[in-house]
Amino acid sequence: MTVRPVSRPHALILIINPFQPEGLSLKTVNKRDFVLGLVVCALALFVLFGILPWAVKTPKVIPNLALSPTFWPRIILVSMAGLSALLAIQAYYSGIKSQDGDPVESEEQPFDMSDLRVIPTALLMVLFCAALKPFGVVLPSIAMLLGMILMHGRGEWPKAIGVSVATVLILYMFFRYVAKVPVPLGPLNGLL
Amino acid sequence: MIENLSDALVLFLNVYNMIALAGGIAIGVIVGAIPGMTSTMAVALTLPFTFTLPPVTGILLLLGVYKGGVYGGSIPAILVKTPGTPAASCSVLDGYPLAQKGQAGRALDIALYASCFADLVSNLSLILLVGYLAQLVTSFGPPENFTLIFFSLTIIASVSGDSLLRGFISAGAGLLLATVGLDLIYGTDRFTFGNTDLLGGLAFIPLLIGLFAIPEILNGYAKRGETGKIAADPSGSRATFADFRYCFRSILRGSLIGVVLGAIPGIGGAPSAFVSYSEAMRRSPNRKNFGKGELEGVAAAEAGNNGVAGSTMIPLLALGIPGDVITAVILGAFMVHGLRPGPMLFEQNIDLIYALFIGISISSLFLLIIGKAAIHMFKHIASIPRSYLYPVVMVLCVFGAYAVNNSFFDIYVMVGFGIVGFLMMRMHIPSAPFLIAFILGPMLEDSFRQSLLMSQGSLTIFMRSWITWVFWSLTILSVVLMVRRHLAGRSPDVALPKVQEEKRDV
Repeated sequence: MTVRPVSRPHALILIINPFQPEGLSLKTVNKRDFVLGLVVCALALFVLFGILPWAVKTPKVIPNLALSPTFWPRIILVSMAGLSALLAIQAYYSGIKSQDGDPVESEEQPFDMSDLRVIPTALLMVLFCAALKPFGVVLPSIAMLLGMILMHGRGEWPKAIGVSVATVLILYMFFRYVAKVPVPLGPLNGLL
Repeated sequence: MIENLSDALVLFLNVYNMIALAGGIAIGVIVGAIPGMTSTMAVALTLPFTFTLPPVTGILLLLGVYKGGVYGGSIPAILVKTPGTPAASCSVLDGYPLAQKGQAGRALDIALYASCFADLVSNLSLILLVGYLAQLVTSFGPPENFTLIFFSLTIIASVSGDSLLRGFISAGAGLLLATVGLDLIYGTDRFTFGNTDLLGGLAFIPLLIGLFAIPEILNGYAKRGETGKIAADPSGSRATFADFRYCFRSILRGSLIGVVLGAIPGIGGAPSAFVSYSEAMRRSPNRKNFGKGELEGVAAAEAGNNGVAGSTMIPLLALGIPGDVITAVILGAFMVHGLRPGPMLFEQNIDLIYALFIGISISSLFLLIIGKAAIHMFKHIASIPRSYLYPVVMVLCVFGAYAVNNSFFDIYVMVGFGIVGFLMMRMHIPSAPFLIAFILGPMLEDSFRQSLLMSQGSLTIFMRSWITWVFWSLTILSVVLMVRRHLAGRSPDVALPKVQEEKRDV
């Protein structure tokens, strides 16, 4: 097996548009790790230079650099930037190697159509979070449970309602009266 | 000693501890037996229920879930060729062929007996060894603690799946998020953005539930995973005493392998099961039958797998460092109850330690009884519709996260990390290194800065004693070994069995 040399334009194109590198077959580049490496590296550098200076308050006088509150986060961020850059480079070169018909890593796509099913559930979870303050924990939990059962089940309404109400009430009773956790009831205050 | 034991008996001997232990094992076996539900998820979801319990009762409940989960994973491995936990992957190799031959009951019985025996051996080793190790650690100062925790971070390599770099990036994110909150020395804000909910840092339990339970639910919806077809009715054939005697040498060997590998942070049950299995195959006169339905193969795999259950607690109790993800969660449980595992726990709470030992010793017997019942109940457990199971687990997550600080913010953290965890799963970024680094991060930073305060900024303090040298050497050795193993794993001629590879990311 011969390893084809990587030309500079190819590397540049990959950085600009990692999903459609010109001259390189999509199958030959380990896109997942390459994109991941670039994204994490960029994020780490952004936090290091853009966020850390104002998000971590530092006392005026510090006897030793290592005692500064920013010292530890800086070490972590520099390490993350370095490691993720290494991941991108490794993914890029393993992709180039595999062009000669010697696949280095599986070409399994990170996301596929089946993952679209997750989106309604994730949206339901976000709506649930938004409903917590006005409605407490119990009502939104019943609604979320019912929504999830109906979304992914066979539309058995009576059974779904029964399971939703019973499950949430049992959990409420346990946490309220056994664990003594003051679970907020929202509009149900005074009823339960 | 006698006084401590009598105090421990007083602590242990109440009906709640027995119920917690038995209940924990039952929960663990049930969850472990449901493909797609992991033991880590079970322990994470049980954790909020322990808040109001006394420490011994709460920790015994979690230990019960852990031990039950380790065994429970073997039931679907044998019956439907779907290991309930990664550690049960090896049991598929001979368990499923036995089930296909109509000997499912025999395979499950021998798996149970091997599990209980190995669990007992592992528990005894924990009780006998942990005290000596803890005594050694009493002389540790901040520099020694730093090198110890730094060394223990190398376990991240073993939970990183197929890419060390992705594992390290995940750990880096965990370390970074652990810095959120008030600075340990100056008390200034770090990454709180003026939010008072963040002053105390991100709560461990919502983050844990978010990372380990919600991604499984979302993944379950995405894949619409169905359980496989049960190969045979488990209520048919039974294992006899002759079967146990026939497998005894492999069971004993597997138990000892499990004890040794379990005591080393980061090894875990799956490698132990495979080492035990390959040793049994190498020494057995019936080695040709391995992989085609050999009873000894099931026994060896399960003994190796369960042999780690007690010994993973050795580094946790003696040194305060978790040996794997589940013991990291149990470490969190100790912290929730205001306890810090390590030598100080032996000095200040020896009665609690002995009470835990008593409970752990009895757990093997409970496992035998509950495991036997679970074999017959598996058909019902496996038939719970996912469309009901996942939403119920989701609501359990909500109540568990809220109960930590009675705060909506923790629910937001849980949901946020649930979505992040799912994306991590899809990008093949392991979440276990994130969690371990998140737990060990504050300890690492604390000991690092305390050491520098002591030495007035001189880094030579980290070389001050033979103990620090030992840990630096172990760290280097560990890094060299992990890189070698990683490189060897990439070569095409060194391949793990497929079933293990599939589960390594869990």
